[in-house]
Amino acid sequence: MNHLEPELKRLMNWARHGLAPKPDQAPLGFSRRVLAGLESEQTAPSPLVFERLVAISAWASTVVIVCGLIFFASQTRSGESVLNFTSAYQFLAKNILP
Amino acid sequence: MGIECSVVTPSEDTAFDMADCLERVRRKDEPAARVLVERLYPLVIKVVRANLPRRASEEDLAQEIFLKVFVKLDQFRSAVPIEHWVSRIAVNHCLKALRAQKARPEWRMADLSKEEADTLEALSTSSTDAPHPADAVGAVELVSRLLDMLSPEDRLIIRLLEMEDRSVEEIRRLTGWSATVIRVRAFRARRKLNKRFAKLKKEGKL
Repeated sequence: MNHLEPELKRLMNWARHGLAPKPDQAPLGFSRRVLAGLESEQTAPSPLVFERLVAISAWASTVVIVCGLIFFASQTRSGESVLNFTSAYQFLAKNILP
Repeated sequence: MGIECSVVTPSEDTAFDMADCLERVRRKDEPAARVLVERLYPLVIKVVRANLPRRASEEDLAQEIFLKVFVKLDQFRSAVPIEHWVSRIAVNHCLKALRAQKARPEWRMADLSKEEADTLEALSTSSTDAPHPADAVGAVELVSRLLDMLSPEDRLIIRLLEMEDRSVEEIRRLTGWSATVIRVRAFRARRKLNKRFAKLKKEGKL
């Protein structure tokens, strides 16, 4: 194992002498501030909830876009105008809606 | 950046039942949580003072660490003393804060304060281990500047090994790093520090 230069080692020893002792006790009200911070953190919506919302929204958007594309393709293939929703409505009425 | 000593010792007060305190904290007992903060504060603040980024508030950093401790408390298993577990959280949090700070620009002899220049001069002319008070203050600044040139991990290793005379085993417990990682990091950190110090003495810049 290598070592520090003797002068550098001595500098570090000198630095130890120059360190002013500081109190180790928690300042007044510190624990109260920590617990208040904890409480506000727990009541605030977690970033995980937002992440989940974003993921769900992204999936929902993807599903809508894919459905729209399928509808567009089927309408184009059947020769009907894409603005004509009749066949789509009939499909929903017959198969999906009660 | 401070260069205080960081002491990590398991709770020696046998009258205090840490396990019971932790159990009550888990049950959202506020007085118990306050007691836990009061008991662990000296440990956390020593780690923070030893690894404080420039212009950061030690109290704010300590508060962030305690928030992390409370949030993760359910993950704590009593396989290690709570003090070691908290130390690792504190060390990792401080290292993350240090990594986020901008690198200090190159430092030249002309940038040294009078105390620092005098200390460097005294260091080369004197061989005493008991410095003049003014040299001791200059030494704190010089060491702090030198350590600032290292990565946060190297800085921590040098401080623990060279300034606090910690053993590799103690550092392993404190940081969670393996003994090999500590030895390799210490070797590289010493080499870098020796190089910087030699450059400072020779060319007047780091």
